[in-house]
Amino acid sequence: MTADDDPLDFDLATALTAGDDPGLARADLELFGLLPERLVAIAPSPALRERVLAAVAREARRSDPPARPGGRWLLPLAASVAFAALAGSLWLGTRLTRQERALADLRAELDAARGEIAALTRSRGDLMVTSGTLAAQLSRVTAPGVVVCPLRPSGDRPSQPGAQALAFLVPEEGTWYLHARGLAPPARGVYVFWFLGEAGPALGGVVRLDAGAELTHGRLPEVPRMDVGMAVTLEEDASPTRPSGPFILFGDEKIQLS
Amino acid sequence: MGNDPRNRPRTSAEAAAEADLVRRMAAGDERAVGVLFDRYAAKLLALAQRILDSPAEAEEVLQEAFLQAWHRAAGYDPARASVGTWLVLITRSRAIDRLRSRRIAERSADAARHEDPVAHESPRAVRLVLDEERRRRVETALAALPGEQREVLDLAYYQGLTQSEIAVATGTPLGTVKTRTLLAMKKLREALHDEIHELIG
Repeated sequence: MTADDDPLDFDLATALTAGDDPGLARADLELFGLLPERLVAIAPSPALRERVLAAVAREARRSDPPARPGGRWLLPLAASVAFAALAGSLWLGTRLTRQERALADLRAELDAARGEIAALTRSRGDLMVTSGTLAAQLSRVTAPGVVVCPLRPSGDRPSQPGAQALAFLVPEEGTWYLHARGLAPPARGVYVFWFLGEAGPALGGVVRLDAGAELTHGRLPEVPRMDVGMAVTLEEDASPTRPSGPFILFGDEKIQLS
Repeated sequence: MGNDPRNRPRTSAEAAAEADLVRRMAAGDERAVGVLFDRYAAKLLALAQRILDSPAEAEEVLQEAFLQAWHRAAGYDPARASVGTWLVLITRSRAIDRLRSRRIAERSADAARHEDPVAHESPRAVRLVLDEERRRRVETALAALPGEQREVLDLAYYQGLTQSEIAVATGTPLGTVKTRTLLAMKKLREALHDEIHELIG
C-alpha cells in the first residue's frame, strides 16, 4: 500500500472493507475522508501557505500545465500554427498583390490594344468609305458617254503655268467632276468652273481647294452646251452670272468615252 | 488566510464547484491551488500532524500533498471521490509513507517500538476550524464504536498498518481483526450515512 500507486487509496478501502461492492467502496472511501473531521484543525501559518504555493508555482513553471498529457505542447503548437497561418497569409497576400498588379497591367494593355483596334477599325471604315467613294466616282467618270476635257493654263502669260486639270461631265446625271493639280489656292476670290457654249457660258460651280482637295464636283439641272469648251476663272463673287475675272485654265478638246 | 470552518461541500453544486477547482488546477491555474489550500489545509495539516506527531514533518507532508495534487489533478475523477476525500487520502498516504520510512530507519537503529495511538492526539489545540456539526457527528460515531473496533480503525488509518500487522501489533487473531474492521466500517457507514451521501452527491 503506497501513496504513489493510487492517490485515491482504493487499497485502503479494500483492506478495511468487503471491497467487492463499488457502491460500498465509494461510501467507505468518503467515510475515510470524513474520519479526520474529529481532529482539531491546525491553521497553517502564512509562511507555510506561501511556501506551498511557491512550490506549486515552481512546478507550474517547470511544466505548464503539469498534469495534462501533451499540454506543454499546446502553446508552442498553437504558436506554430498561428505563425504558419500568418506567414501563409502574408505569402498569399503578397502573391495576390503581385497578381493584382499583373492583372491591372494586362487590363491596361488590353484597353490600349482595344483602343488601337478601334482606331484601326475606324480608319479601315474611313478608308473603305473613301475607297468606295473613289471607286464610285471612278466608275462614273469612266462610264460610256462621259465627256472628258483636259484644261491647261490659259493665255500667253498664264498666272499659274504649272496648273492643269481634267473635267468630267456625266450627261445622264448632269454631274461634273474637276480634278485639278498644281492649282494654287487663290489669295483673293474663288475659282469658278464654267461650261462655255456659243450661246454663252453656263456656271458649273465653285472649285473648292481650301481643304487641299484636288477633286471637286457639282450637279447641274440640265446638261449645258459646251461647244466652245470649259474654263476655270478667278472671280471675286462665288455666284457670278458670267466670267469677269481672268481665265486660269481653259480646254476645248472634249473626248466622249465610249 | 481564510480557512473556512465549513470547508466540506454541502450540496452537489458545491461539490461541482470544487471539482471545477481541480480542473482549473489541471489546466495550470495556480489560483485554484490557493483556494483549495485555504479550504482544506487546516484539516489536512491536523491529519498529517496526527499521523506523524511532528509539526515540521506535517508541514512538509502538506506541501508534498498539494504538489502531488497539482501533478495528478488531470487524473481526478469526481465519480470516484469528492475533492475533500481526494485531498485527505493524498495527505494520509504521504504521511503514512513518511511514517513507514521513519519506522524502517528506527528499526535499523533500534528495536521496533510500539506506537500508542492515544499519544497521537494533537497537543496543540489551535482555533476551531472544523464544521462543528459534522465534527460532532463523526466524533459521536467514532465514540460509539467499541474500543477494540476503534483501535483497529486507528491503527489502519493513522498508522497505515495492514490487518495482518494489526493482528500482530494487538496480539489478536487475523480473523478477529477482520471482523472488527467490518463491523466498525458498517457502523460508521450507517451512522454517517447522510454525510457520506452529501459527499457522494
